[in-house]
Amino acid sequence: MINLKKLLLKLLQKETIIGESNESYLNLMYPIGSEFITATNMNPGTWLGGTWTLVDKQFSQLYAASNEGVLTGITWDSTNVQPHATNARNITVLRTGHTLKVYAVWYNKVAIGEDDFHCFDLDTTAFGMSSGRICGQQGIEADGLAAIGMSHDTPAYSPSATISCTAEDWVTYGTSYSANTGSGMITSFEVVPGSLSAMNDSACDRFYWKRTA
Amino acid sequence: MINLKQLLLKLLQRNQKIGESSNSYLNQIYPINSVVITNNNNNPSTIYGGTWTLIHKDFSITSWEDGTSPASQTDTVFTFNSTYWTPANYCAIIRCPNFIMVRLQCQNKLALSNTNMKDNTVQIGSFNLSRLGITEDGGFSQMFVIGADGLNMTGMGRFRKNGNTWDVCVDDWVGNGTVTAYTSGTGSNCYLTFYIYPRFEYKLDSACDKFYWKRTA
Repeated sequence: MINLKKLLLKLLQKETIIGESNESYLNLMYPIGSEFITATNMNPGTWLGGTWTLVDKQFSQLYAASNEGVLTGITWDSTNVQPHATNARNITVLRTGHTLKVYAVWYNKVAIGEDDFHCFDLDTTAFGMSSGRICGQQGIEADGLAAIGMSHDTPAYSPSATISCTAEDWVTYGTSYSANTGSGMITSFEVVPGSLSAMNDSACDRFYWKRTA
Repeated sequence: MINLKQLLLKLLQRNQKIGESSNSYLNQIYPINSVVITNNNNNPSTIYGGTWTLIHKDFSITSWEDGTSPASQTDTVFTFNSTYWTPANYCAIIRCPNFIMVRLQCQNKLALSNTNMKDNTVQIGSFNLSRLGITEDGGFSQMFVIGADGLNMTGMGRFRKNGNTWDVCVDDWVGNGTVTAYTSGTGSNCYLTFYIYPRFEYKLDSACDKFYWKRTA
């Protein structure tokens, strides 16, 4: 823990050496290269002086769990996925650091096995991210078989506000995955922003500033 | 712009901590919405005054890792379920500021098939949560892929809270249908890696070394 009184004494004792300018004190307390953290996007230069550059920010923690499968920002594919009344759906999103972590459970409505089996879309803007990409994907697991790979295709090959959870292909073990069998499906993955600017200030609670001059 | 020298002189002349009698000094150094970091769970208000709210914690970095003697056996951070698995020669758990990376290797005792292992009936093992640095609550489920030696079979598992423990379970296996090498007791190597992202309120203070405080008043 900082002993502020000792720090202040040292600063004053050095007065004869460093002079009396405000910049000299700033250089002692926050020399160039120092970092300062704020909870909102407010530049420390406005009250401390000096030149400060935003070098990082992090999301405030948000934990959102669906109520009977309904969660703002999630749109289930009603063609492929069963409604909650038939079988439970659940989805949770944990926003922390720089990422959204998604965990979802649902049941099939049509036969599993086709390529590009679309399950749901996630709107990143509902979670404070203007656009993002899937990473850390762990596949989509259906009861007794596994889909390896998920597509991110809206649009392809660039960050998007719409993250598509889609099984690209399936490795089949059983044969019981026809339409309306209600086979449980499950996945987890992460969504990361392409840049700091994709993280909305209102969704962040730590802004890291570096003194550059 | 503040005059730092005048500020410091006033502080010392009054021989008081910032904020004890007035927030004006505090406002000049740490205005509302500033963030300070402490290395333990001591509210900065006891030093600076004002009102501060804890908004985040970071784990201290540590690891349990042993290439020849599994961490699960020597450190009891993770315990393999000996009914189904034999710990192999690698087990690594690395705790980073915001997540815990888990890397396990084990060998099967049962046949690796969807008949024997499905629907989380086969537990790979469980964590000692307090050793890991998290509380009993706040589990965040996650899927992971299990690779079996030779990659003719792949499983998917789930890391999840199960009562008062956090289990690592097998959900299902898939294969080419003609694999014969993964029968009971063959000791085929299985590999899995996943990350644990606990909410900050579920991180034990004793496992953290950075506490982020936001000044709210």
